[in-house]
Amino acid sequence: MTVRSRAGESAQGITVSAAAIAWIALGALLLVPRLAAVWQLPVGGSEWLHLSGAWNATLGVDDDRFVPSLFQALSALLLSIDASETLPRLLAFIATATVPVALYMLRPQLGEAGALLALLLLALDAPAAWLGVAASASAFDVAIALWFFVLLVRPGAPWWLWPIAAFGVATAGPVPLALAIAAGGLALFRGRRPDPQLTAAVIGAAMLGIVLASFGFGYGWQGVAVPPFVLFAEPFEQHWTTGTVADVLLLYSWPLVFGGVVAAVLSALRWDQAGSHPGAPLAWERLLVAWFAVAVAWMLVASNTRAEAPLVAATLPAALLAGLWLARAFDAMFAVRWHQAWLLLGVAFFVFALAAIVVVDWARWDRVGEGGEVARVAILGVATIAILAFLAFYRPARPVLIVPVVALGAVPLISGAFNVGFGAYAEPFPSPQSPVNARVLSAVVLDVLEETPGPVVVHESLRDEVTWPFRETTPLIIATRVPPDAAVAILPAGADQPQGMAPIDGDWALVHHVEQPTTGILRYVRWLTDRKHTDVHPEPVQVFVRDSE
Amino acid sequence: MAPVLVFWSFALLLALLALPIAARIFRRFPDAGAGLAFPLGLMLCGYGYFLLRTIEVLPHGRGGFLLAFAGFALISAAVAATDRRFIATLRRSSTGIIASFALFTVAFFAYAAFRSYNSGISGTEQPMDFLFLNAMLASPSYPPADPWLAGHNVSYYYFGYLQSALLTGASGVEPSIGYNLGLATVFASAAAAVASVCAALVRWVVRRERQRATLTAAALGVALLLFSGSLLGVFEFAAAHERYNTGLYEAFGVESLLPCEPGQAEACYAGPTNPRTQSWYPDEFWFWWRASRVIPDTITEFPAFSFILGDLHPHVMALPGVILAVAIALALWRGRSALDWRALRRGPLIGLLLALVFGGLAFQNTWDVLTFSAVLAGAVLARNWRVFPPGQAMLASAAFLALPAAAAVVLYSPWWLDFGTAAGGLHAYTGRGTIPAHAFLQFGTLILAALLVVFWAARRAPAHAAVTPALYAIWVPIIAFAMWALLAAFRGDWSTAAQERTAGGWTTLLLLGLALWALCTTAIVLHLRRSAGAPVAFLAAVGVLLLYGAELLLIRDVFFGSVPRLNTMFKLSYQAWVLLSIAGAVAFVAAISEPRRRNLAAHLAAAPVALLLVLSFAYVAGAVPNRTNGFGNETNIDGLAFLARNDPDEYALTRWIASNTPPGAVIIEASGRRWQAGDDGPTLQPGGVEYTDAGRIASRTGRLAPIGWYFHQVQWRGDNTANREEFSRRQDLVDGVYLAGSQEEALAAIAELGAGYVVMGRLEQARYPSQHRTDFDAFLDVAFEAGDLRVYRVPRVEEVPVS
Repeated sequence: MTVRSRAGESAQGITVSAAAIAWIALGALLLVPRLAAVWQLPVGGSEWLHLSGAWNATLGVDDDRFVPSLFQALSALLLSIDASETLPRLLAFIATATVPVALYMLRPQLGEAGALLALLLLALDAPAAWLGVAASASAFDVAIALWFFVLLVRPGAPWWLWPIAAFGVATAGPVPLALAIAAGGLALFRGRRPDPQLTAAVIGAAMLGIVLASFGFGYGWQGVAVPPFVLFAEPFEQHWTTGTVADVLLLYSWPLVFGGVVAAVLSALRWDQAGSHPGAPLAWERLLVAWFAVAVAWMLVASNTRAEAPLVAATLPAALLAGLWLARAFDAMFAVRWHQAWLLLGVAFFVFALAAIVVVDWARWDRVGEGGEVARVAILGVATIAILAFLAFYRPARPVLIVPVVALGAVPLISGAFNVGFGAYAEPFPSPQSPVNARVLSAVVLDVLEETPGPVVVHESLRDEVTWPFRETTPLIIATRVPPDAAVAILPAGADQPQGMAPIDGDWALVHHVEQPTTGILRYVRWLTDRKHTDVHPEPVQVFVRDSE
Repeated sequence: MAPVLVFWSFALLLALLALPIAARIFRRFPDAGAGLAFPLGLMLCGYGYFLLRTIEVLPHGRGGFLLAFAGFALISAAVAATDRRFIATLRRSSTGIIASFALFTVAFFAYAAFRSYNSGISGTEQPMDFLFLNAMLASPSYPPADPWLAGHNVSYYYFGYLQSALLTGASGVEPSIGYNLGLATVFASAAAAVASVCAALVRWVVRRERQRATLTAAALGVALLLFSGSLLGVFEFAAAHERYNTGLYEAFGVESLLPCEPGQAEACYAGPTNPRTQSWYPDEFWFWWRASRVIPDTITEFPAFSFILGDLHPHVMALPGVILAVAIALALWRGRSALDWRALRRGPLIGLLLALVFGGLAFQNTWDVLTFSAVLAGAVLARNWRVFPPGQAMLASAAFLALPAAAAVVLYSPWWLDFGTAAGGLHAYTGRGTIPAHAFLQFGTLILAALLVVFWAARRAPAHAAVTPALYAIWVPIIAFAMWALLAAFRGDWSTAAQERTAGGWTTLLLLGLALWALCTTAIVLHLRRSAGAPVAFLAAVGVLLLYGAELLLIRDVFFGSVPRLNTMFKLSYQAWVLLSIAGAVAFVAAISEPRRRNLAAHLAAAPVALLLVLSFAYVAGAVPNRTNGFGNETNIDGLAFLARNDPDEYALTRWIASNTPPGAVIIEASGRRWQAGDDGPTLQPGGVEYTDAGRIASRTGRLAPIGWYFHQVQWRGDNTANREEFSRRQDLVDGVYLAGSQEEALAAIAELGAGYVVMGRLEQARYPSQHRTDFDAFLDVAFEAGDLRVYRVPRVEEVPVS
């Protein structure tokens, strides 16, 4: 799809190709919401933990939340310049800004249209958008994985790029790990014997990365640390997000992963064809399928964990695969007998719309309708499926099936990307979040301390929540009991009032969780059509001050 | 059901990943080694995990286990890539591969179903097994910390637990489920592995009707290894249905099954009679236990007993691994090239594999390493004997084995450094010996089945061809006997040894010696004639040698003063069971596959053996319904479901600790000693803590207790004054926490133990009298509460800078 259109026969003879316009437009689609997110995204999910860890690293406090990835180390450095999350996010954004360039370089493999569609899909993937701009320890992962893929599939790369890539992968989060495993597995399976000197350089660079990470990039000895391994493993033991990987997949990324699976199957079906066959997948396509397979395996195994990376690891190759096959499907659509297909498609949409209206109504009232209504919806649903099945079996019109699939998938993708990117209130992702209320509380505590100096005691169960909102305030005492000289005590809700202290009125919370609307199909539809209809659950705390009397 | 499916998927995945390696070693096996891929995958991936955890490359938790899988997948891909015949091997052996995976699957689900009727992890040494499984899963660093001795690493052979933990951790199932599914995996792996080895041997031995013979041998191998038992089972059935023949019972030394005579209280049956059982099977509680104690003062456990009991013990978990070791030895024997140092240079991977597998045997069940290394050495020597003159063959074999042996020590050095053995050297056995009737009940079926190889061989060599081999072979029993005599004389036990052994003991020794001689002679004869039956006779000979050896020699351990050969007989007879099952199955099938008119003797000999084989299954036929109450028990695969049902508060407390305390946390729980209230303060009551609920929290969560089962620590770390003092000191400190006179005393003891939590659960309430109990509410934080049970947290204060 390399259609070049002249933008007018101007006197200067300047021509702008449609592809160039598309690259700029889609690049902007990817970058603009992400740039906005730098300021608008609430601090939440793993970003919250990792910012806390980085902050403590700047203070020399030993904290498990500091995972010594390269980004974490740079993040800590930037936090020592400015205590807000903005600079680390800008750094993450800069890395993400190279994504369109990487995709541009994949044109020889994916094709112009395939690369553009991959860019579009990546732009619309909410978890990937979040990971690419939030200051989590894995913030470089999307960019590193994509550039690593470029390096693997583009022939003639200079040798010195390989050690750099090895260093990048060794000091990144777990997302590039899936690609590294797939690439390693395929290379080993093919019996490739790389140049020993290059191998030594790659191993040396990776080891250097591990050594630097083990020393926390200067923030202190962390024990032997392989950041991608640590970040791969930790979500299995800890909860970084309110929703599970499966929840986030169902809310935001299912069209992309579904598209990736279909595309991977289509590629794999041609796997056995002889290499000389024009339709047979090339080595890079096999690598892409293998990458996606490893990533999906990880995503499935981690489906009940609470982290972002396993999903993004799958959506990234899914976007490339889906982009590739969407372009092929669009090409095939030129051969469709449209006069028949349009009619059937139109009927299918109409029938589906009739059913959808009823289901949306049910969702609004959170109850399924009467028996007759259910029967009507069922009939309409069956009719839609029957029409689409007919189209699927009718070979000349088959490619048009892509239209309803894309239309159906576009809704959650577009709404998800923009709502997450612009930090919409009550969006289930990212969650948990550090509420504004927590910063207000830190200001209140500072005010109290001016009148009643003394230690601020925080209950041990709130240790993790308090770091980020209370940075730049006053040293805290983390304790399980309130010492008698405490000026302020922050305790979990329901704790006994400490002797000689009085509560500060207010609905205080250091963390809030956004409900994941994945408890049923109606709940999901309701949320999809009314985004703000999610419950926000603050975890209340009680604040006590020394009674002046 | 979902955890079972997930666990099974991971077991299958691991076997698939190991298949390229297995196919390379066992190319000539009918299933290309697919049946052996299960233990191979577990051993190799388990070792990789152990090593990478030890050097801190892999993180703790499920992610670490999954990364080990991913790393193993890369190795697998590399091996597949360098094997040009891999795809062809897969195609040729596809039927065998599918059959192996199917057998594993059927055996796994069948055993899991059986176990679900009796899933509770309680009684016998199951708490200890669960402890080690949890230690592998929860330890924040490797080598893993010992949860029954906070501050120390495990000093035990724990590779089997690590392998179970690998599947449990990677699949993400609860440890209490992983325990039972780990047993199912061992059962199924052993079935697949023994079927693979038996099928290969029969295919090499039997020329006609190969397909049928292969299947029969595989099935019989599985049956003999896992379903046959002591012939005591027949007497148990008869006694349960009150069919008494006093003379016969006495002749077989099982008169203890007869009802007690008036005035008799011991060594007789004292339960209800008329009827003695309410069912078609013996319903006496745990009747099947007796079959493991037939020979007095020993344990004569066998695999069927182990799987019915359900202890996840090292010798049980080692079963698939030792069959793998045997298979490797056989593959080398059947190889085509000489095995010298050049072979290692040509294929260094085989050296590495030998180091990992045979070194892993020590790590898995230390007793196995000597026996199965000897099997390997014998196989290598046999291979080289075909190529070199005897002296050179020995040198070449030594050169071939030396490097892998050294590598095995180095590769497993992180474990060796922590491992303290209680073994105290080789001694002569100076007891009464085993009477022939008991030896027959326990091992008769297998020995006689294995001896069929002699009948099978008889047709393949003229009698005079056996004369010289017989003259060589006689030295095997003679040397063993001479060692006994010399050791007895050296240690001053000669007269005792000679006098104590009864006529029955001498008779058994003589019979075993004769069987050993016959089998060694057969092995040499067959080997000289380049017959594929030689390995069968060799395995049978080693099996009988182990039983013969256990009648003569013993390894000194903590039981030396009371029941000296308890462990020696136990461990060696278990190994013999494996070897004789393989040899017996193959020999039986080989014998009956002979044309009847050509080898009538073999057929005639096989007939009574067939009858014995059938009778040997009586044990399992009775024990399985007995263990499951006629399959009437409630089913649940979770090993802690019994606790959730019987004591929900204690269960909730356990779950809370597992979920809310850090993996390396030291948690004080009852030492297990009993205290009684008294006017002058609490008084300590006599009684041990072994096999009780002492250390239950550590066992169920992998968190660290200051002290668990006292005498087990003595067994693991050596019986010396320093150890006993330290263990007693810890018991005193723990009891001091619960019975402290003041807060300060309690806090000082808690601080000395380095603990962060104190448990006040059901056992603590039972062991420490309430009037003397420390009032923890006054000075510790209540971290968890369920009913009247609590977990206390030691108060902590820590200043954290924020800017």
